[in-house]
Amino acid sequence: MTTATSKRLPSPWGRLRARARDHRSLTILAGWAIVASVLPVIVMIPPLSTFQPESLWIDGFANAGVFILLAMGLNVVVGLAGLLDLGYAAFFAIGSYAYAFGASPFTNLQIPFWPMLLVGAVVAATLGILLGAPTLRLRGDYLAIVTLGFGEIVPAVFLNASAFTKGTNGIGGIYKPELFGFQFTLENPVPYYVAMVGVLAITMVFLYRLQGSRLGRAWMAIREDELAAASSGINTITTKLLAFALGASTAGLAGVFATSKLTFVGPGQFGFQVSFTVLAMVVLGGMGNIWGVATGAFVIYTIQAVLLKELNQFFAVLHVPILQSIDFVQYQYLLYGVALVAMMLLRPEGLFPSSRRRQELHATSDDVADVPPPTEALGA
Amino acid sequence: MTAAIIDPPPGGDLILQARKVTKAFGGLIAVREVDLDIPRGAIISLIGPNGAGKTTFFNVIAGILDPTSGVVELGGRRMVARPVRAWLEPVTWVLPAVIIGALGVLAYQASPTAGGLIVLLALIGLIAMLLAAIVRPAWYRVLLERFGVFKSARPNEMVRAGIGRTFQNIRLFANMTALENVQVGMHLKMKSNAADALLSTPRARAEETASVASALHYLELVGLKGRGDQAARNLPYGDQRRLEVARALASEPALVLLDEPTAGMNPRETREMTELIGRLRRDLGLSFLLIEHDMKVVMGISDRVTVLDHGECIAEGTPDEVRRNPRVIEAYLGRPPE
Repeated sequence: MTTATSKRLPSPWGRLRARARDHRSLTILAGWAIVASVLPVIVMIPPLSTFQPESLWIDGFANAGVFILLAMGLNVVVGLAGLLDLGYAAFFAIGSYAYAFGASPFTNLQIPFWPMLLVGAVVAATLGILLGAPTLRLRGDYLAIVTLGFGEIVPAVFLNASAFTKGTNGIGGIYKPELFGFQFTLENPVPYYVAMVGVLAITMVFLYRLQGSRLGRAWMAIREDELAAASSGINTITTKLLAFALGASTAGLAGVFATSKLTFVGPGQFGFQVSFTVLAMVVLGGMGNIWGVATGAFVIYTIQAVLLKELNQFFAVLHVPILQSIDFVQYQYLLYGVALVAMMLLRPEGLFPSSRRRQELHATSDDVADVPPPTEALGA
Repeated sequence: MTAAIIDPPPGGDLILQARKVTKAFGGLIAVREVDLDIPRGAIISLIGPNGAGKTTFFNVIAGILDPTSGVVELGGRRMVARPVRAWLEPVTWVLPAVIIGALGVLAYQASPTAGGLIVLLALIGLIAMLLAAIVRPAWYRVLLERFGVFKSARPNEMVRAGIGRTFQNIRLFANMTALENVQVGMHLKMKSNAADALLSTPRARAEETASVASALHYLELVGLKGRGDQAARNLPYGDQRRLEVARALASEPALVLLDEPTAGMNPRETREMTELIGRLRRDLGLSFLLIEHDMKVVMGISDRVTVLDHGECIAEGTPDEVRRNPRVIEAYLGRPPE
């Protein structure tokens, strides 16, 4: 049926879209390559270039990548499998500490960064399974509360097991990545930026493949109706555990990356606000849509890290009486709240929703005339 | 005429055998000692007034509810029954870990490193067994059987054993397309795992293409040709029922449980559904267990009918026998006007 559509519309755009659908992985890689090469150029253009020097922009983009990873991982758990996880920062913490243990003077180990990416992902996935196992029978609000608890427990453990983690002081002096003898440094953010884009592109290819697979369908089936999914032969237990594990492994990757860049890890970095921010990114970006979630995370992080600071300076220069004295960075959670409420009222499916969610939230059940667009499934 | 004893089926080939199935919810006995035999290739109907316990009985057979007593056997294998020696299950994984852990503590006196390692081993073993108990892979079930522990099969294991089902209140995956709904039904027939999906192996891709073709075939079979692209929620009611049947068929079951397959259908759709069931039995040799209120359907296609009232089986026999049964007339159809 999709082929019929593209036959009717032989426009270059239609053909390009059909090709992109057939070669999805290549399209994603090419998309990331284009985005990654365009972004540094865009920030040299006046309004943006006046905000901060280019190296700071690039550095910010690399940091934004950490949140994009987190949001894409949480999207597997919340958006695909429908398991509301409010303690996602726990896995970010586990990945971060895994790297700190593997490559810092504290443990006298110096495992290179690249294998540690894998180790961090695997460790986080294992703990994702262990923390996911007790929650298997829960759903909805109850699941959210238990995961919220886990999200508090994990940083608390890192805080109090001070013999192993140096407690509040955190572990510092963590080694930076190195590639073929080329040492990453604090002064030059470009290597981090490039590495981050690579990690993101590969993760996204994997996530899209999972989403379109038998496993991805099983996740969606569980989200839609768990009993019916079980009665269709899906082992809901292993499938949910896999969702937790894959979501956690992505957070583990993000943790290893963030720690290698910051060269420090402490229990204070993984509070509830991280889980909340990432969840807000997923919701605002468009739950269930991988690239939408990634874009949402990027936009929110950029607003939070750059725009709010700029607003401060902007109003300070303008000498507007009240606004001048407001520190916008301190109001970021207020702004999230307002943005979320506005979103829920105006566009509940998020900025870039998956076609599925858009129907769910906008079509009434007797909207049969409003025939939905063709599926991606047939393009397979 | 009271409950007739079922004729021995040809060759004694029973696909499903329920023996004295009882299900109580607290003080309420929803199903009381119901026997049911389904010979291979038969269409059996389960009728009774609302609240007679039909759906509860269905859910016991499908592995969703554990019976209070009684046994459901599938192809001679006990699948669903009250758990036996369930208390032993935790013991099988806690006890070894405790023993190894205790040994480790003892060894700690001699050598702290060895002791610590042994305790760590015990902990890892405990966690592994805990996960096995949650996931219940095949080897774990074999292990349990060795200890004489029995636990009922889960719904997905009943599907693997050859049971497909539909629901009384339609339970489709509303926001997935009709095609994807059927593909989910094929879950157990597909073999590719997460690693295949990640690497997009030829096997996974070929399987995916084949599953689309096969799903389109099932959609055509139930009369939903060309509807594969529509979200399940946007389908008209009758089509949603048909889609549920297609999803149940996609798991290639030997026995299909249909819970009110023609509820809310118009006479033409009802006739089509009846014909479909007959055709599936003839062409694919499937067996059916129906819950149905439409007497025209029940009397038209059933080989045998079981009547439940207040959880008890009050009659069993061919449609004609049941139709003339005074207890059935009284309990279910009501007293005829004088």
